[in-house]
Amino acid sequence: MILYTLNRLLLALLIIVIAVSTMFMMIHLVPGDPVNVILGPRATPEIKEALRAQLHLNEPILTQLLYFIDGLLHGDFGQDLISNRPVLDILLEQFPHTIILVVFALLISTLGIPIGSYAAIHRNGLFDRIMGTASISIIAMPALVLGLYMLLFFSVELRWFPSIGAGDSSDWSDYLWHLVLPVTSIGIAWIGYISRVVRSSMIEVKNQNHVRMARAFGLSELTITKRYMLRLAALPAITMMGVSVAYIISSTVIVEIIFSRPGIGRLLYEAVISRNYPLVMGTVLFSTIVIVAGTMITDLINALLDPRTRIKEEQ
Amino acid sequence: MTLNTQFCGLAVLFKKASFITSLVVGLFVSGLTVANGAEVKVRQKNDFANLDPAFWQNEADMTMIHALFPKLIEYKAGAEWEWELSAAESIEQVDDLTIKFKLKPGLKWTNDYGEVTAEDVKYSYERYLDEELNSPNKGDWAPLDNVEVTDTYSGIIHLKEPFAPIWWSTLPFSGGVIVSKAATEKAGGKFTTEPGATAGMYKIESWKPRESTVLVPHDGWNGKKAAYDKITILPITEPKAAEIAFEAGELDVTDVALSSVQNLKDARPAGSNLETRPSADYTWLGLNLANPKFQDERVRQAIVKAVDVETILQGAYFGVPTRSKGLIAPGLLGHRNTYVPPARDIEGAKALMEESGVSSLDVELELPNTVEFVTAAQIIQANLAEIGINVQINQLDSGAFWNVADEKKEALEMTLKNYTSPADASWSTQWFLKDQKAVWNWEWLDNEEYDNLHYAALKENDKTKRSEMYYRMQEIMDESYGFIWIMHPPRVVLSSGSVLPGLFPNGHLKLSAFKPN
Repeated sequence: MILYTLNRLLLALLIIVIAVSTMFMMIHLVPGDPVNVILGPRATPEIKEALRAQLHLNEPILTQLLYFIDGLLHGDFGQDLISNRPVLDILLEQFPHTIILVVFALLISTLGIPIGSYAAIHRNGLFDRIMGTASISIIAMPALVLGLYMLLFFSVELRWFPSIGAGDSSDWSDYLWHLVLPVTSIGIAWIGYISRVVRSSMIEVKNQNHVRMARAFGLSELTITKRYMLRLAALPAITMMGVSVAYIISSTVIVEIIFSRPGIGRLLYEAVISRNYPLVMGTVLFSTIVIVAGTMITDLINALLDPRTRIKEEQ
Repeated sequence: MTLNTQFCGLAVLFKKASFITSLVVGLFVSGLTVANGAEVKVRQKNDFANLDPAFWQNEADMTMIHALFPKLIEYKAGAEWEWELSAAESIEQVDDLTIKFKLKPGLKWTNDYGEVTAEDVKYSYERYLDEELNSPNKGDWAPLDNVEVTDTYSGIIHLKEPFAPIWWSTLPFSGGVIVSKAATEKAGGKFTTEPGATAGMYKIESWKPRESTVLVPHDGWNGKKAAYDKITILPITEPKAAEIAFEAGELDVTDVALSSVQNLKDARPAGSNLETRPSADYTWLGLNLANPKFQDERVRQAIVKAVDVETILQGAYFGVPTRSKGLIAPGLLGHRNTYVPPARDIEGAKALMEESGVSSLDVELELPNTVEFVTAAQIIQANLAEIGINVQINQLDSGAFWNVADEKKEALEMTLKNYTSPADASWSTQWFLKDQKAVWNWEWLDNEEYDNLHYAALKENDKTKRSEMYYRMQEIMDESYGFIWIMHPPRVVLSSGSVLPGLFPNGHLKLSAFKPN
């Protein structure tokens, strides 16, 4: 397991380096001059040139990349080009809001596990049919549409939930209250996905030899489900949840804009529009780390639940 | 614990949660905050990013700067561009090169930086001349020679040459903002989001970046009493999200998308008010006069005749704005109030194309990728197809769009765009000077008379003469057939019945003029 974990760590590091370097190249190749954004229309060519030199924008992209990596190695993420605030400070302010959103969205997506299991056990029953239809309907609905409809219904019509902001972070109940709609609009589709995956895995596992043997030994259905079926059937769902981290993080861009929440998604959107390179790179780095960490954690959980995975790789 | 008992536990928890939820919902709804005279919640498109008047970036910055810092004079709230005394007790133009001022005594900086003095005024204005500061807005004070301090509260502004915009786009705008000399020097000569001291009607009580800013009255302010105990500014990027928040009762003032105006007029939220203000900004279709495709004047003339501006206003802007009469917006000196733009003349356009011998032409139209611009471009595309011009629409995100002239230079063909402007015509005319070609003059207008008039108008203090100069400059632009003026984009502000929002004539927020209704 240690060897497997080390392998995964090295792979994660490599992915982060490649992703961040690629993103650095891409953002610098896209047309657009951050100097125009920073200085506005009235800056003289001399002032613009001076700023370009100060930001190393006149130098080759590879040199700029080296400056960036050197900065990272010294814990310096650079300065926000507009406010001049350290990028790390901004990221640390915004990141918790996104992480909380992602974690809660993942948590509610786990509701798909009991739903999928129940549907598989009572295959073709009323619950299975209803959940089948509901899951597909929910999966088909984008977070943007769902978010807007929830806003109109729960915030405007019923006035149950707030429509904007993250709430008061010193008052956890207010903060949680502001999370309900954004989390639901991102996470609900994943309940559908996970339940469908768990259902089909359970159906597959149900007829495997070890399950039939357990049944022959007279073990209760509950014990069989918990000990012999769900453990295996949950594997694809856990893998899927790892993948969902990337999807959920990308959904936060839309959701944070619709719900006017602070966070990495909205920050990234604003930074890309204004060609605020250091801020773009900071958000990409943080998001990549979270996505890679999510995938790595699911790999490790899978390896723990199903030793065959790691043994095969270690061999 | 078995899996089923875990599920049972969860179910119980959910039942409890739903009960608590219904209770909390009731409590929360009853506690929703709307304006009551003590607090008002206002939307801004962005969070502020730079409060230094020498480096401000956008409207959000200026809204904050207006509320936080004193100025000798300030724009009045209302529909007309007028100024009134603010931190100054008196101000007088003695001659073309001399302006005397006296501050009201007793105006204090926050954070124990003492009183606002003439030394602060001198420092605030003269810092623009400092080459090391490298302010992009140094043009605001380009004609400044020096500020002479005569006593603690009085001083004289000496100019090197007459400068008419000083009363319209310098003193009442960012260039006229007074910063604390001691606090700014302590910060190293400039600042961004943390000014060492402020002295406006309001001060910042708290700022959560990208979440909210809370302003409270500043005790050291010696002007009119602040009408609100608390102004909360919420940065909301999407106008539709802001409209939803308004309807949900979580906002008191927001501007709205033009696409929502008709709906709001038909079914406005109870008790709310809707106010439309034309801005000094301008939207137009520009033809690059330096591009070989537009060398024949008859082709340009044909395009001007073929484009149906009224349909663009209806189709892309929902009929809210009125048609522009030129570069300079209504309310500004130089606006062509009596001028009637020519109506669409498709037959005339076809005849001109035939005369020019150009039977078909492929052109590229660059524009920012907003719904309004794309719709307008599609109408232009259809209009020009009627005279044998095939338009390829190139939508670009704003970062790429504002770099397109730098990249394409003379190869740039047509652009659809909007420029912003404060309350002086020179801000608009400056972009079409010869030395702005490829920078902001994307039409490559190269006209000696235009340039001379621009510089002459800057020095002309006689309003009638100055107005005539700007009128002539707009005629020159028309005669070039490189500019098809569309509109001065209006700002539509929605406010709850309990608030009288203070608005500048262009619809931007003047927080210090907000009052309970």
